[in-house]
Amino acid sequence: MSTETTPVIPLPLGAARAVTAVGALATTASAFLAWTWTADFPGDLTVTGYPGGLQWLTLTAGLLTLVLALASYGVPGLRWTSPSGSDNGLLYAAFGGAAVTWFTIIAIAIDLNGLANLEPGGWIAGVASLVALVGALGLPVDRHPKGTSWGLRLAKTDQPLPTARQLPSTVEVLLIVVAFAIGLFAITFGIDTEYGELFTGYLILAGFVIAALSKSGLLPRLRALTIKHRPIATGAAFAAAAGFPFTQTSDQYTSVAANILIFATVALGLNIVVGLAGLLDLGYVAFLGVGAYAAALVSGSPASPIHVQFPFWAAMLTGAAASMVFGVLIGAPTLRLRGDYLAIVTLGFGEIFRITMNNLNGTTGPKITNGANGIPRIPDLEILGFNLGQKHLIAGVELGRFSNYYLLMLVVTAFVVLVFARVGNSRIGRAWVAIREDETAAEAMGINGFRLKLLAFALGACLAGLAGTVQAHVSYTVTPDQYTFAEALPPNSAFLLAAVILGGMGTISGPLVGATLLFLVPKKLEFLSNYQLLAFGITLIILMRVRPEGMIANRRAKLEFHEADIPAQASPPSESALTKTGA
Amino acid sequence: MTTTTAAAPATTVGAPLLDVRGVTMRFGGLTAVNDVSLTVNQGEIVGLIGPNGAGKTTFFNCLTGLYVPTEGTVSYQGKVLPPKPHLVTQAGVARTFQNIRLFGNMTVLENVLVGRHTRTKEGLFSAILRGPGFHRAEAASRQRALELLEFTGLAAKAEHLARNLPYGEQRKLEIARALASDPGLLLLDEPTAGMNPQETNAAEQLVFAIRDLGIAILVIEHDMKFIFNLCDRTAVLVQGQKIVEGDKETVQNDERVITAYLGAPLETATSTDEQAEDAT
Ligand SMILES: Nc1ncnc2c1ncn2[C@@H]1O[C@H](COP(=O)(O)OP(=O)(O)OP(=O)(O)O)[C@@H](O)[C@H]1O
Ligand SMILES: [Mg+2]
Repeated sequence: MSTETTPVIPLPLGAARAVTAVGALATTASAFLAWTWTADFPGDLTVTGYPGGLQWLTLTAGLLTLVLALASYGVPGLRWTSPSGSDNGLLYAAFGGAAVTWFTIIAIAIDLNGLANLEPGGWIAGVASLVALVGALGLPVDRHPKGTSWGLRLAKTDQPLPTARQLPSTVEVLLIVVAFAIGLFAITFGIDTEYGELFTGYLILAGFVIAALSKSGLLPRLRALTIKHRPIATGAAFAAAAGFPFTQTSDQYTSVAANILIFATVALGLNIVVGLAGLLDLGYVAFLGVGAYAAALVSGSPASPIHVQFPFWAAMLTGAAASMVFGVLIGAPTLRLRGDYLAIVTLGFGEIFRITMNNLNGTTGPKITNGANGIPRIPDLEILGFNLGQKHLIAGVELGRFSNYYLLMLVVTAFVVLVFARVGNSRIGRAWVAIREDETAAEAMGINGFRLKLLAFALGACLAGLAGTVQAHVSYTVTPDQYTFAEALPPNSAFLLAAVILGGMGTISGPLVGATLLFLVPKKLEFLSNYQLLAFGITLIILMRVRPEGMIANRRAKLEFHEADIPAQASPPSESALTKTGA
Repeated sequence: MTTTTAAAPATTVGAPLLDVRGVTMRFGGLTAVNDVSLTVNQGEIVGLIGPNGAGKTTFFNCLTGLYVPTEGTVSYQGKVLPPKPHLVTQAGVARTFQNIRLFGNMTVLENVLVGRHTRTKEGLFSAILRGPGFHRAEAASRQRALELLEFTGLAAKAEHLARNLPYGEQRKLEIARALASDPGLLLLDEPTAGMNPQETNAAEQLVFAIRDLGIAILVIEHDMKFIFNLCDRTAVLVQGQKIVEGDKETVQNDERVITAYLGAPLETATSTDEQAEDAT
């Protein structure tokens, strides 16, 4: 693989390092200055001596750059932060610092009308972050040789890391726990951001920090650790997720978090259908709807024509079963189709579901769903005497309604993760992937394609229905308009598919991460109003350009999309000629 | 891998395994396979040759249920095979493809494990619950798959992605994957296409080794040396019709074979871009 290790701006190594370190230090310090004179800009950046709002992001970036710069110097005790020994991570960190600082400066200028609103502190921050960046550009970084691509594009090859120092198991586990605690803090920060500027800055910084940490080798190290201690890592991840409501003082963001979980769980269910079995389902949200409607009908809501109130477990089973039946009914005739046809038919069925729910209103059809008004006033769940609608004091923290539902949903998510992981790695899962890869060959291997596709469809539907039963209670009301193909807010079929593809097809964490982002971005960027979908589209294009395999690449997809980066093996002779000559 | 080197015909040629009666396949006006009958006996290696476009692959597709023959029946061990690929494999007839059709983004080992599909039963619930039965079956499948990789000489590449294998090894993997379904009859469609002489030689040894496992083989090839080294019997297909069948001498000395290959104008002899299966 041809990469070279050269600076982008020719500087002597010593000077480059010094400039980077000084710039990083100055950036860090500048976060404590006043950047603007008025508190009109959200977050109050007028205080000297204490960072506020976006300054925290600059501070984080500055510190990370400083630490990586010192590691690059080889300062003992900090070298562990850069196991790869490459300065690419440092460059990304410096980039992140400059990006988030200049984003803030521009945001101030736009919000307050003019750069005149910047205090000297703001200028110092801007200059310092650029100094760090220039210094980092002078460091020898691994990149594609000149001429093959534009100067800055860093090489994608991940050289194997030097073997890690052997740590005692307990220390490794502790590291995992600390990492997940930091992760929880970072995600909580993102969910809790109160204004669009801060969230945008957060996203920018998060992107660069993740890139920096993976190039420095820290994230790959962590990944290796989590693979080594998988059960503990999974446990820590769920413990961190369960910890979220305990960090909250009001229900404002726990409701967001509960809805993220619902969306993410449904996306994971869709990943079975799309990511594993390769069936493009454009009407998947209908299964969520079936589950929600089924649960609403048996919830004891006064608007439900069936005046029964199932206990929660029975309602869940009803929702999941109803969804599964619906899945089989749709799947049985359509799964004989291949490729594009299936996409079109599922798209149609998704719409049919919504329209049918609209029409079962007593005038255009039997009175079951109340039409467009939906089924309102769905009572809160009560599980073993624990009413999820009320506040409870747990471990000294008062958990409100949405916190309760969040925790309940987390259990459902855990169940779906378990199903996905276990089925994906089994005879059935392999058959699905085989069908996705080449259905004809799969059938020639003795796989009953139709039956397995139907199984994937039914399982996916069933899991979405399960999530739907919780959703009905979380949102009090189910209406047909919650289940459309596309609109500006999730969940809808288009966003679900985007979550799977952006996150990473065939992986577990991919759709979870993708769904979280796709839920938060439109929610937090409501100030963009009319341009929201445009911004969303641009984000999608950028992401697909940078990481076609999704944010979390599955081992296979990574190989698939970055073929050129893999040490090439002998390629088939005259393949094109051969593939043409019939089977 | 194997020690068999002699081209001696198998001594234990047994009862008929595959019995094809009057198979005809028409695509609209084109008769790609015309009233072909053929038997393959236990322990036999039978060759199928013919110019490009003669209908060999189409004939294979009729046997394996990829195409439903317009006329005729295919029976295996006395039972008529239903025209469904997975049922044919289940019955014990496995195949490879002329244009390699591996599961490119699965590992080599996973490809072979997929081949075990019909011989294992673990379903959805078993996979979710992961009882001891599941682990036992999974371990057994793995064991068997690794044996087959050992047998075909791919053991060292078990964790590689199939698509990254060199061409010759991809062909071997197709064979390993087909063998994973414990077939009684293996259909090979041009197993040495695109191979160099050394690789062809190794493929020859592999075919003998498979026969020694008690698996009968029906093989399509253009490489005459390969065919006549290997096969107990060879059938020649020209323009959809079987014109001769017999041992090396019979086939080599047959007038019609010579004209079909060397002289007479056959417009199909040059057509190269048919895509037999993609039409299904
Ligand atoms: N699905 C199909 N639809 C229409 N015609 C087909 C179809 N499949 C095969 N044919 C035609 O049948 C004929 C026989 O093709 P086939 O692929 O069986 O030849 P072959 O003997 O395998 O040739 P080769 O040695 O090149 O592999 C060709 O004329 C081909 O175009
Ligand atoms: Mg052919």
